[in-house]
Amino acid sequence: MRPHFAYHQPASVEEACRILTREPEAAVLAGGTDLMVHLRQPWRGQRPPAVVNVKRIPGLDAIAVADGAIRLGALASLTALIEHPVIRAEYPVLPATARYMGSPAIRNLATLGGNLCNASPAADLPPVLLALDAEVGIAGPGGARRLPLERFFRGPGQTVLQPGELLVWVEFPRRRPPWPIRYERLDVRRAMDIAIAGAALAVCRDRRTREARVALCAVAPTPIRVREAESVLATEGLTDAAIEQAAELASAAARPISDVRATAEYRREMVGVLVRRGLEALRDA
Amino acid sequence: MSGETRTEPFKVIGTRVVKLDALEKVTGAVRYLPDLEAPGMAWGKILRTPVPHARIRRIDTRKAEALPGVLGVITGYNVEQAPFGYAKDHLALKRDVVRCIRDEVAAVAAETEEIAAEACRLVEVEYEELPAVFDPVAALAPDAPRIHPQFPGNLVNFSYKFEAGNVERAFREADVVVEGTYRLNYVTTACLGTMAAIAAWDPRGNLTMWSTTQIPFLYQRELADALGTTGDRIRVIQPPVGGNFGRGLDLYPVDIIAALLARHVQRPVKIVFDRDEEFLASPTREPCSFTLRTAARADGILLGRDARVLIDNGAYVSWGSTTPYVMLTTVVGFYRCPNVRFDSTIVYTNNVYSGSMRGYGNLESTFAIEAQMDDLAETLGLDRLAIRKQNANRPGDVTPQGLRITSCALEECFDAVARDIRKPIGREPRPGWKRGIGYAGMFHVGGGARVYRSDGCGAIVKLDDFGKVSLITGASEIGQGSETVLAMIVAEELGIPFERVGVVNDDTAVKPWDVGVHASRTTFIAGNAALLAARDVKGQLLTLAAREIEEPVEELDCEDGFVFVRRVPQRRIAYEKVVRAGHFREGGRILIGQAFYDPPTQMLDKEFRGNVSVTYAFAAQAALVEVEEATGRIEVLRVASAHDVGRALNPVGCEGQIEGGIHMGLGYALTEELKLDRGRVLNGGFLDYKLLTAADMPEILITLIETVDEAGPFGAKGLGESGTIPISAAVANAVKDAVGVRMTELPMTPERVWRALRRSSPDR
Amino acid sequence: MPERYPLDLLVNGRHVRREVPGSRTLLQLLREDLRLTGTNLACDTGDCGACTVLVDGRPYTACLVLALDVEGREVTTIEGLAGRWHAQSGARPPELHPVQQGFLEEGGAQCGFCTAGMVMAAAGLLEATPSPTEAEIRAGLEGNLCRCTGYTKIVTGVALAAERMQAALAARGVRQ
Repeated sequence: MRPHFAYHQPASVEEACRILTREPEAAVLAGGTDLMVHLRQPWRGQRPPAVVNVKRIPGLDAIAVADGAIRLGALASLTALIEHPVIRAEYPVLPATARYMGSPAIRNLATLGGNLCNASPAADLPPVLLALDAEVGIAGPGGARRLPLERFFRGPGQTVLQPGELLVWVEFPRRRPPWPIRYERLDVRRAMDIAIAGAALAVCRDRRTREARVALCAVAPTPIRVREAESVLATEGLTDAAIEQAAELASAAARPISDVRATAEYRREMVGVLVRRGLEALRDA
Repeated sequence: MSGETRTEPFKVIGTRVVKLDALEKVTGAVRYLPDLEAPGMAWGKILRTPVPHARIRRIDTRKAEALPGVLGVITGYNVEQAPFGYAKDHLALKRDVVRCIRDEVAAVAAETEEIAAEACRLVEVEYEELPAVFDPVAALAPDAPRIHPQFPGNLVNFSYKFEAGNVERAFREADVVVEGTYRLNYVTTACLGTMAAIAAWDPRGNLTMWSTTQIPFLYQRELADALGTTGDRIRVIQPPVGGNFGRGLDLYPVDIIAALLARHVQRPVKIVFDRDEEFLASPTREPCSFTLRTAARADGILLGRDARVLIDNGAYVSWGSTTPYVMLTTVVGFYRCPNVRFDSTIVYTNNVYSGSMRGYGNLESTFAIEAQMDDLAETLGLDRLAIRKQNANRPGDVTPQGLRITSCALEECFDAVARDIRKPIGREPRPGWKRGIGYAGMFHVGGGARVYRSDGCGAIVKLDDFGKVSLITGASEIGQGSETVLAMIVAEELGIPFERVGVVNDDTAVKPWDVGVHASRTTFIAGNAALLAARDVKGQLLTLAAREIEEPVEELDCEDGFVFVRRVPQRRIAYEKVVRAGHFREGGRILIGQAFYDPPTQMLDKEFRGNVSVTYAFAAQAALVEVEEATGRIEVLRVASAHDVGRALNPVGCEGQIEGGIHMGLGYALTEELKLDRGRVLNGGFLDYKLLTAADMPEILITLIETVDEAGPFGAKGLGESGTIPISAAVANAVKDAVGVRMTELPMTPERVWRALRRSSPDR
Repeated sequence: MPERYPLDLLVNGRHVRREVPGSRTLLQLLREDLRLTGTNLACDTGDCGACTVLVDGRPYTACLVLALDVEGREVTTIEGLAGRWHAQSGARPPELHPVQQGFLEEGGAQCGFCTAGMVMAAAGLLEATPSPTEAEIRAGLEGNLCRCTGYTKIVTGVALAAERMQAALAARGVRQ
């Protein structure tokens, strides 16, 4: 049983923002795979007086492929992400990562936007999206704004969304050719588990570009990029020494906690293992 | 059992049948207890303490009672209740003191579940927290907080102590001694269907309970005592249940509270645990620290064992406290070992308390013993399989306790798993992963277990004038398929198609007495009862048929629903005709057979000597694993599982029990741990109490070895727990084989393995 | 009294019209309002899959779905699965959905509490992936916990069902 709430089903983003401005304590309902769980957990103390179901807003679930960018609607389900032909072809790391999350039924319900706004430090998609240089689009009473995903998270369960604001899309540039990206994850079971540690790795070294991305989850209050590691890889490429150094820098940058799933010490060590593994896989591909 | 009228080839026994209730289950027609309603039913909810150890200073239920829709609120202060439980140390609704985080302080009955839950939040309770103790060693200290005033030193006064032979000399004279202490933590049954009860009193003061119990007749008696009434006024109905695995082996506060609420508000009351509550309040397997030493000769022959187990009993005594009984049996009797000693210390703490859970102490003891069989082999430079076969129990053995081993195929079980585990797997270990194989065997009761004074089960077989047979059995169906195999036994014995047998087993007002589902006893004991009852009714059938066919009884036999003359098989008469002829006449009779099978066994005496089971079950398992050294992850690629089952009456059922048992045992080995911190449950949900998913399971290769036990129904022995018992030992031995570390704590999570690897070789 | 909102949807092929509070889940609607108790409540947080139903043919855990969120959609529960198969394949009662039949023959149900959700998840899997490998079957069922069977006979039951569904639909000339 869940506490009662007033139910709103806005037909547009503007209407949603109006309701959220009027009722700052209202919760946004996307797929429900987080909110509906939280409402069942009394220790969270979450009893929103109202719930705003945004799933009937047309277009928010669209995945738009343009020449320069891929824009994922906030309500795109994880299943939609997994099944989209362009995403599968050019960014297979996204379906691969989404498959770690939950189960098929959960992925049918869960949305990209809901996952980001839940802002779990252990969420798997954020590091991958950081490696893709994603930006988010936010609608609100003050108009629309966009910002890099890296600035979207404030802490565990907290984003920069202001009262009345709604996340509407996530967009990343369509690199040509796409950079090889790997996501490495440590968990215990093959399904249903929250990551103990996760690392997204990307390295691009060609005539025009020397760049790398190293992004981590589950080892800090928010997903983080490790720029020190990125610059080593960008400068030196995927040499043994650079890989080792990047792994160590990533480990050092992690600020994990100990909880029921793992200790901080283990998480920190595993960051090094995952980064090393992901970079070696990129090198050997 | 011997004296059988049916021999091979069998028509029903050994065939692959569809479980009797499978159609209801795959169509959603089955109605579990949460699906049931009684007219006028109210919902009950329990309020539990937020702190593990405290004095109750004040309870004020007025606000709760005033909430519209609330019918009544009960506490330990406004109801009549008597202490219950094995040690009578437990009151359903607590008075004065709460001792663990489960403790029930109040209960509300209301028109809806929601109102009942809201009312619980309105009950005001003032607690004065008391110093608490959460570790058995700390609880034994002289200045430790006392959990129960009547039990000084926090000792549960059960003594499981045994000694045979000359243990000191054995250890002195041994060529090698290995020792270790193993830490086994909390796990829980985690059934998909939660605990529940519906209680309804009638105007005469009779109570009907719908319950998830698996011991309806004992429950009837104990519930009556707790409520201050008599057993004849209590009727227990067992709807289909969503799993049990030992959970239902005791009477629990929820049962008493449902009855008390129903009495208080004069309406039927239903209480169903939600998942949080199930993880919190459903009984666990008992956590323990198991210290074992094993002594052996240079040639591998075992000389002695010395075991001490320290058990965290939690706040009250339930069946978990009696598991040293089985631990003792294993230490003393598993593998031949002449000089043996066992002792246990069971300590009250402010942690949650344990019940019985599949395997019942045997997982823990087998884990220790099998770790040391490998350690011995390594120290002596012997083959790990050879040392096991060398010391294996054999038919005709009598263990130092006096357990008489009759049929036994332990060596053959080891041979079977050794063969299966080595079949090509089709791929090499991945880079960074090391592969290993581990073995473990087990020995458990297989022909009932006289842990209560009675180990009996009653059966009635009724043959009607449509040729349909009803088996009314005392045995309970808890999802494991007992009613299916019992129907198969009756069908085989009576020579009728399996589809013609129906089973009635869910109502104490109807079914004959049975002690309950435990100790893998149902196929054997209830099977023998059903067989005897079927034989009884068959005799009546043949006698009646003899008159109809006008042939002597000795000339007759039955098959396919017909009684026929052996030398002229075309002369035959259908059962239904015989039965009709029997009662559609003057001076008629109906055909009902009955039996109560209580095996020729003994309860253990004060020295823990005796033969508690008619026969014993044996099994061996092997695990093929890969371990990733960088992370400590273990992947089990294959499990080979060989079982001396006596006879596989229901092969689908046997495999199902083994496969499910392996799942539960692998969870114990790898991922399942109910974590408590200062008495509070940290991971009470399926997200972080990790049951293995379909994607996590290894390949399973099963061998069923039929020793055809002379006492079992058609030769069968018990099987329900065997798949679970040795697997964690086999996996731990496989990990040792793969990466050289001896894991002494379960579960072997990646982090634990990683730490063990680091400790053993810091540069890893 | 919480406010109620109108709801109109299809459940097992029948129109259902109700007024429900905002917080009512699809699982509550099915079990309590429509008395379709075949779908079980085992955790209420989406972690076990016992409440899996099909919404427009896709598996959802009904405990996480607001009833109002399936307005206008088609919900299939275990009670309606055979009917769904009949509509898809031309088979007739009392024939069961091939997954149900597979579970019967292979022994995929013991206590049965996970079975409804497991069968629905498998049915949804086979509608999307008609010829899954064993690994795909296991991945498709990874969100459905079972405590009794170890999943072995569930997987063989689903594999058997896949073959039969393919054959039945092909025989009927139904393209998938």
